[in-house]
Amino acid sequence: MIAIATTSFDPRGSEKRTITSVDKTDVNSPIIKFAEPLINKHFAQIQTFGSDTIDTRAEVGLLTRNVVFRGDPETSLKNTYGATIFIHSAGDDSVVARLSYIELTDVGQKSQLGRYAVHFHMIGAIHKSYVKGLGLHQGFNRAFTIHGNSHLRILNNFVYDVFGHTVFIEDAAETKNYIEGNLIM
Amino acid sequence: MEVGTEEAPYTSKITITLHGQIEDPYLPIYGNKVLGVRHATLDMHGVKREPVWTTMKETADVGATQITLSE
Repeated sequence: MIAIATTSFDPRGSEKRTITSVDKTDVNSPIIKFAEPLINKHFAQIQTFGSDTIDTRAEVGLLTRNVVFRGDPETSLKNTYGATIFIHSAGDDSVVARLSYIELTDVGQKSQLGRYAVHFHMIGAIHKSYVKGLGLHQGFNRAFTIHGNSHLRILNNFVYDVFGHTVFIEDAAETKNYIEGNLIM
Repeated sequence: MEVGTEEAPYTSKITITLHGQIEDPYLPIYGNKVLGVRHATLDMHGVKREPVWTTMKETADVGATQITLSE
């Protein structure tokens, strides 16, 4: 499953689609096909203004993975009360969480303080932990929270359709965390 | 807890589902419907997917059933 970014002023113009096939005849520009027609136009062009070029191509992200962590589909959406991963013990490197290329869905608990999809809480330095290449969708609270931690890496994730801030740096006193290459839609 | 490792990601399909409601019993600090990690190591690694996201190469119009990617 993929999601295609809105390119209008309406944030609800993004669209989720299930892939039916991929045509890799031209390996440098694969064609992704899906059954349900797009409701909105999605603009894609690199524009030039004098000496400046601006990339205004719609982003496309992959949501699904072979490893899935989720809240139960029967009640999570109905109650906006999903599953969470809460990483906490006090002391530098007292806990390690390494997450890569997994899917999180029906996660986070709406309006509940601290109940985020992936919450690193008051640990200190966490040199060994990272969150990389995740597909996270249908979240009911913030996606990734850094609270009282340093040296955490949040890299190349795709997050679609969550409530509130997606990457939350809680106290603004956190330093030396590395957040790069994430697509948030 | 381990679902694959950095060196050997999990290659089969697996779905881990947590159940629970707001009024259910909960752990101090960690809450409920939670995978709590304390003085421990959590490894969860799926099959590497690159790129995780990219851009479209060409504009897709209303009604399109395919898109062309830029990589």
